[in-house]
Amino acid sequence: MIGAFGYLIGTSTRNRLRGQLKRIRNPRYAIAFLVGAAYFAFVIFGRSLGRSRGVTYGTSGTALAPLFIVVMVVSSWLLSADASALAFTQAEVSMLFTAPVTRRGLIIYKLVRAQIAILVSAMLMVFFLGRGSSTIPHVLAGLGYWTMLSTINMHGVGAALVRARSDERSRTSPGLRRTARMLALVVSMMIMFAIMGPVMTGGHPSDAGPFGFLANVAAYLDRPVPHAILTPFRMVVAPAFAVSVGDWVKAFGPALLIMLLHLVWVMNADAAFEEAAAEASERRAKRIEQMRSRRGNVREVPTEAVRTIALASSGNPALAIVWKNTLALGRMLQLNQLLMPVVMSIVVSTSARRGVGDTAQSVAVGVLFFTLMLAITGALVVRNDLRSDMLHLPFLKTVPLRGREIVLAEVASGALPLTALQLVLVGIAAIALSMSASPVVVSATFRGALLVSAPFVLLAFNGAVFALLNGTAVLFPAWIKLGPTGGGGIELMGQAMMSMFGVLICVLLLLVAPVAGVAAIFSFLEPTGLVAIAGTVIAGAAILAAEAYGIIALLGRSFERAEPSSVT
Amino acid sequence: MIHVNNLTKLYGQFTAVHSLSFDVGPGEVLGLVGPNGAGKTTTLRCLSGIIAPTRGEVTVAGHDIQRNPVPAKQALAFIPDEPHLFDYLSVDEHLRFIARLYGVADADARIPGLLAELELTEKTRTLPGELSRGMRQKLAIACGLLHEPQVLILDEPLTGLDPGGMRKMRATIANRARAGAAVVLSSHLLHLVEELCTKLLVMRRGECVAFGTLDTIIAGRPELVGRSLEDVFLALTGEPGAEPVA
Repeated sequence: MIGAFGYLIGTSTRNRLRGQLKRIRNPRYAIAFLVGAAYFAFVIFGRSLGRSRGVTYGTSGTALAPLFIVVMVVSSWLLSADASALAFTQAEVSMLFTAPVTRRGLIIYKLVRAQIAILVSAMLMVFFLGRGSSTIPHVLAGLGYWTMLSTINMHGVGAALVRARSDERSRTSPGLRRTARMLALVVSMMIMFAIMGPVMTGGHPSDAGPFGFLANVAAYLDRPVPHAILTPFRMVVAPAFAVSVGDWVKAFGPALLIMLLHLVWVMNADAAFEEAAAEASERRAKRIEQMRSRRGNVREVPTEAVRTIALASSGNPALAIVWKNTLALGRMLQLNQLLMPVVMSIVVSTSARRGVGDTAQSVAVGVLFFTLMLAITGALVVRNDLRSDMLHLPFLKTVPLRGREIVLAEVASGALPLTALQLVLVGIAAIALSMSASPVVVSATFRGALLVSAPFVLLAFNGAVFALLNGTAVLFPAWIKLGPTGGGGIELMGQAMMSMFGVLICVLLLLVAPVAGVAAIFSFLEPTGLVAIAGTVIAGAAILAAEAYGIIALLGRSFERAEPSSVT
Repeated sequence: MIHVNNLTKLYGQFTAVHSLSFDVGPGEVLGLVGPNGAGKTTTLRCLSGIIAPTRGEVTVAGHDIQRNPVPAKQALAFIPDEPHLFDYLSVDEHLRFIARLYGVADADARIPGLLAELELTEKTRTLPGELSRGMRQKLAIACGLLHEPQVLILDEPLTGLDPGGMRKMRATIANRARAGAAVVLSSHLLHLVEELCTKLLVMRRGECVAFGTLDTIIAGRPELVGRSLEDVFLALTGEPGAEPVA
């Protein structure tokens, strides 16, 4: 049995790797591969040359890391859909569940299969997160991340097994169970806010910036009771955050022990999970976005279209794609993905309240911070574009539209709703500032100019970001996750980081020309009036929009050449 | 209506389709037959503009599908064997989406009739995830037929349909051809091919081994006279079991 599992995992991995490496014959993939390899080489050799070592965590970062594990553990019990951590592929359900294999065997298979993604993610986390100010070798840092990710993965499987067993024994309906979990989640959040709220908004050094509250949280977590409660969580992350080999050696043993205890727990969980797992697998197969996902709280696809938007049968045909994607966005968007930016904005707003002492201004700061967060992370959440539609490439290739028109419509599908939301927020911020009783740092003229130019700037920026993200789907469909969500659990975090870093670098490159243009005008012409300042900023937005359109036109040509075989 | 000249498609070193040439006129139904891996689906995908030929030309309604794709695609419909529907669009929304893409001005009048013809009237607000395999196939067919294409390309059109659905589908194909559409269909169901097709193109390993009406094909192979279409097919493609069953 173990031999058969090993064969299945080994050959599947090998064939998948071969398939992806074959893509390197294509010049486009070869260039991307070389750029990626050059980056890795830079990271590795940069260290020996004494250059950048990646992110410096700082005291706060290291102290807060256990909270990340707490969140993952709580979500595996409260947020994950029923048995989603146990979901197998349809092929696995039909072949392994009917084979003479024990439940324990299936669990072993599930854990071993996850190890491949965990190992890759651990490796990528070493490269992308660096090792802060540590001096430990890459291998040891990687082992630290591996134990951490493996423990979280096993905890997720264990939690799903326990829930499957309790569901099997109790006769409560799935709806009631979900309601109970949601209630538990709300209570947990209320407790967390009750404890952390005063801590986060308490006094901290004024020069600590908007994230000065993190120092408060770190200090709170170092108090005796929180410290004791978080000890096991701290043990899990300790090797990954060790700063010296000595620290790592001391930390690795306990972390490994916790991982092994999880393994024993999962292996001895005697739950009849097949039915729950099969149901979870079927649900997953039904939802394209979860085809490759192993866990996750993706919104269920509704069974009926409750509300719709009218669409005339005549007019620009490309608008049909925008219409389709807008409907899809309304039906698939998970508002809980915006929870973190909202919470952060509230914290920033509360922190600003203490700094400026004016409620209206603190509201404006929080709302503008949320707008900024949407600009950075919104395009990763809103995926109603070619990142979903490349799965429908055969259909899109038959519609009577040019590739350029299709790509433009797909980019607009994400950029337009996000820009609309941001403009509403900018409007709220402007109203709040106008109601401020105390003087505002930015002059009324400059604020007015920014307000006038906001639609152009936001649309150009969002257009550029969405064009780049659609570019990853058109140019590298075999190397990215296609579907309405990025998918993937903790074990796939590294891959997500890799694509995010790539797009971030491209966005920065695109911003060079418009920022330089605007800076040059401000330096030489020194515009002062509202119209002049707004005109300058809009000119910069126009340069960015032109760059984005150039990318869209190029992607249109690539789209016309794309074949269904390139997607698989 | 469809003109194919020297169509060749290579995947690396592998030749999926080699030097295929044929014409399908208005009202004609061409049956594309051949064993698995013969190159039928690749041919249909080249005809519908999904993939580009490595060499050769495909002209649809007078337009080269590679050089002038928009008017060519405006004139055709491709109905695949596996329906690819959008998870977040209901049955009715799929049809409205297609109506806008193809500029179907009288969509409001056409949609109810089409839904009734394909027995989807009760499911207009249902999303594809809740439809059975057959219903999904019917929706894909409805999407293909809504803009009344001049050229209809079907890959295994009866897959997933119940007996009633199969009968209706056969009638629909025949009606479209009678109305002047050029139809190309690929199928392993030889009785369907025999019933509907005015011409046959038999493929084997990417090449055309026979083209024409069934009578002209058999006239070229006198030893096949009096044999069933199945025997003719097996003999032409050199499939194992070519000897007739006693």
